Amino acid sequence: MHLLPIIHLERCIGCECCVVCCPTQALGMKEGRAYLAHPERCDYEARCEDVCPVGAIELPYHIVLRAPGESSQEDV
Amino acid sequence: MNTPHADRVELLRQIPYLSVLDEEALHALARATRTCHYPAGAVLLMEGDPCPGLWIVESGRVKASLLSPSGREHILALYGPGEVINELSAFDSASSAITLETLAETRLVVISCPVFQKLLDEHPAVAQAALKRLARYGRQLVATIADLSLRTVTARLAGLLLDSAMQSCDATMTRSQMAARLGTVREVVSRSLRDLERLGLIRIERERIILLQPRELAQLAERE
Repeated sequence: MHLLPIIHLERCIGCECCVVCCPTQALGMKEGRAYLAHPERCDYEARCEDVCPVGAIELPYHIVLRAPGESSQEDV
Repeated sequence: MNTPHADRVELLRQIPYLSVLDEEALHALARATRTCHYPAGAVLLMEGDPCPGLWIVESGRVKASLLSPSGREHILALYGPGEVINELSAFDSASSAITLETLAETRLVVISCPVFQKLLDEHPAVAQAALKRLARYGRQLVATIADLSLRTVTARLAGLLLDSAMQSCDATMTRSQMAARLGTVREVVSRSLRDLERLGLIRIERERIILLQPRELAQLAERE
């Protein structure tokens, strides 16, 4: 299952910076707060997280060891 | 709902410095404790709050952190079932030096300060075992100071990623959470992640941080 950005609504000030900078228009505004309008469009570029002035958006990451047989960067 | 007496005795028995108590004393201590239940996200204690006693995590997860006046957070430790919280304050009944918050629905067994003090007075073996634990705690603090002052964020991040992946096959963290664990800010973590990626030690694929070279990451984590 894919992870999705977490939006802390209590922190959101409704500046719309994340909505404007999202390259896939995955975010929208509802009742003056940002929300993930189209989760299927989110490509995890993290621009929304970087641009949010109040830290209201966070992207969680799975931290995993390379699976046996999975290529390392040098192999790619 | 209170924890059944027998379960509480078992929980207390698992605590290293309480395990030296005999059966009678363990049962008496269990009767003197109470259970508290908190939802996820509950602030249990703020810096400066009076000491509520010694807490033992029965279930759930608790975060210990320091908060700057601007709201920046440094996570000191995460506690899970069977772990003891708030020992320093319980020893001297002083106000709390840390902030404690639940990360999941949590049940805590509480030993009040007077009960804990009485326990130390009446059972020198417990006091001795507790002193050893305090000494270990002191050494951990020295290690943390050394970590923060002598090692780079990239080295510390390498260690954090490695520990997280080794401890759980389902480890999930945001960059802000990594920053809070390392005593830095998200932008610095982002830079360090890019450095690790450039070195070929990790790869970031959408929502996955894949540790490609665990041995090299471990070596980097040990470096100054």
